[in-house]
Amino acid sequence: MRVKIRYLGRVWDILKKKEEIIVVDEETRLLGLLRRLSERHGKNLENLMFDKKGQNLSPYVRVTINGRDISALDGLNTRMQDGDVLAIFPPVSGG
Amino acid sequence: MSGYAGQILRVDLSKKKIVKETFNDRFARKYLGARGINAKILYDEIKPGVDSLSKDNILLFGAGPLCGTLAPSASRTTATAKSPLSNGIGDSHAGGHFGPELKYAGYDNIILYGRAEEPSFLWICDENVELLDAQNLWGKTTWQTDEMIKDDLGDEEIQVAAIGQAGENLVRFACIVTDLARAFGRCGIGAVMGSKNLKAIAIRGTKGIDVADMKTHLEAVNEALQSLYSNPNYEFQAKFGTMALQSISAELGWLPIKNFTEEEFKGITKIDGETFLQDFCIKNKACFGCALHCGHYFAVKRGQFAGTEGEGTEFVNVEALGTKVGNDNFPSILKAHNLCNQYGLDTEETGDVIAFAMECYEKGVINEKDTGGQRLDWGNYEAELALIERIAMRQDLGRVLGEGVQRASKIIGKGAEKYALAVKGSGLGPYEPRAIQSFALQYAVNTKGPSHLRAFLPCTNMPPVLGEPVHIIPIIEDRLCASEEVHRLVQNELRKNIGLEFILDMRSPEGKSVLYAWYEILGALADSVGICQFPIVSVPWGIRPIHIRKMLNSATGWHFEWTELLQIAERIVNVERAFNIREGFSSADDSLPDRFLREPLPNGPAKGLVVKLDQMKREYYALRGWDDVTGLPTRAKLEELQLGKIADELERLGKLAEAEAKTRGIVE
Repeated sequence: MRVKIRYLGRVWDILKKKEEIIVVDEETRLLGLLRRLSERHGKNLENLMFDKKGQNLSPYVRVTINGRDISALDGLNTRMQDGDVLAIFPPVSGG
Repeated sequence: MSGYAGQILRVDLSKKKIVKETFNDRFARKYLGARGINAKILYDEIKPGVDSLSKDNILLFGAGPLCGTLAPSASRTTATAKSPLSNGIGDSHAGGHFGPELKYAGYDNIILYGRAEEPSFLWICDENVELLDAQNLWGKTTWQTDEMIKDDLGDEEIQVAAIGQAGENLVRFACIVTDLARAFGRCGIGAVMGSKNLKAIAIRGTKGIDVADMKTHLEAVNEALQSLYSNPNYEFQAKFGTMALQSISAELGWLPIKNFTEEEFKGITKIDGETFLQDFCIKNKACFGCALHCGHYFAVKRGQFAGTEGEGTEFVNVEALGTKVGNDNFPSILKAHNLCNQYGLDTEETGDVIAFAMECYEKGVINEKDTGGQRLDWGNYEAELALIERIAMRQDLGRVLGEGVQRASKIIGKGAEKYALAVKGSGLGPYEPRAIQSFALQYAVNTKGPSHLRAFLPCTNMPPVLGEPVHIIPIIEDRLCASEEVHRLVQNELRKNIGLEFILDMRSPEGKSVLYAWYEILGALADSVGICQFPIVSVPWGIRPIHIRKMLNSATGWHFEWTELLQIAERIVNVERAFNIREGFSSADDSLPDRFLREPLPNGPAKGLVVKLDQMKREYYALRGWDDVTGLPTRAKLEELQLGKIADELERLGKLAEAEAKTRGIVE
């Protein structure tokens, strides 16, 4: 399965990369994918995405799948599908 | 009066009479300053029904008690008048350096009456206040005006707020530009200034601001700064400003595209904030005393628009002059942004009217005969730039479009009304309301029209505001709960959303009335003390409500409890509501165009959604303590807010909730 990852705002600033395609297994859940991205891109991304204990997402990062916040899906347990677009970005407001 | 400059300047342009009035302590404690004081003076001093572009309208500028102090991000200043777009209350807010300079000259507010016989500008240099001839400035851009005034008066430190040709030509969405790129943008305030034959206000102040308790004030300022600097989002927001919002909005499906006709924009990566920082940004720029410095200087180095240089473009500008008109050519958007600043046009409404014209062209309502031979295809940036000039000069189609989206659609007729996406006479702000329902509510009920900044609503779920709930939440629960049902909602939602976990589905109407009601109060407070909402909400909680209270109390020497501050903010919201009701507004004006209520979003991540307004609106009215159907204030609520005289006036007009219910036979 192929999943597109988009890095926006603060996350782009760390990786200097807007998007990439990752090939994942059929049983992959979101947490596993984020762990894989951490391994691939190093501590900076890991520290940004996870809280100090490394178990939960930091409140200073939002993750969406196909434009839906994962809090409206199955959270970190959400099962990835072929063609999914995952976006990682900071919380925002204003204009 | 500590924290305040201590004087209000009343300028009668018709009689060339200038009066300095000592600031009233009791009045300031009821309305704080800036937006609050402006709103109450507007309510008290103009008669209902006056023509907004006549000499009977008044124009106010106000700087709040924290503006110009050491409080971080305290540069915000409010300009208020009856709006030529809505015919209701119009207030517009700008950063930059104008407000602090006003206070250093010794004034908290300026009130402008009448109409000057000849083009004039107001020159304020401490105690010296004069109306000077502006014949040589008339017809000049805001940038030329700024430069000529500084040259003529021989002082580079002068702060200027000026209108361009758009204000002179009474374009109903003309703005007032200060610092070259900071604008009192929405509500057509620049047209009011133009109608008064007033080209500019130029200020030089050399005084200081007295602070009641400097030791505590410095302590509070440092606490606010440390909170800002230590926030995990600080560095990101300081670098991007609002420009991160293009790509995130596109990802979540809120980006207005082609006059809100679709929700997928293929060229988004060409005009996102990441591209801006890489290809166009030179460095950041701050407003007065702001540690967040979210503005940017930019330059276009190559191509057709090489040599375009400017500052201050924001998400709203890229959205209004880019995606909303189908334009993904970033250099042309920056050029359009500069033109709007120079001519003195509100970028948002400019994008709205051009998008409206493009949809009319696409649907065959107008053609090349109407456009002077120009093809108005989506994304035709040459046509867009030409239209900006024509609107400012009121030429050809620009003469009609200069009336704003709603009026223009009525003049054009032939079904054009269907494509005029306006509320209270004004085009919509930068979010697709079907995809983010809290903004839908804001656009509908906002007293100044569909601006996105009455309440600085979060666009995504936000981190908790650590340490704040103990101060804020019990008070909000107590003050905003009108019924058991709403109280349960607050218990269940607000605790999570504002204080502790903040988990909301932005596409659902659930919890959005509470969200809007709280952020509306916070917005009224921030606007009235003079602090920018961006470092409060977007960082988020860099500068926190507890810091605002401590900085305000130490600056003024007053001892406001939270309950009092929230009551003041609620009072201001009620005065603004009462102003509109007195002008004839009703619940029917708190609505949205049919496109958002009946036409499901055709594509994008929020495909299929429409706005569910009725539920949110009723809850919001109830949270405010108003009649939950008519939205009219109740006497009980107005008297609780010490607005008994307003209650009396509304009652006489049959527009108090109880009086209106009686006429409908609901109450004996």
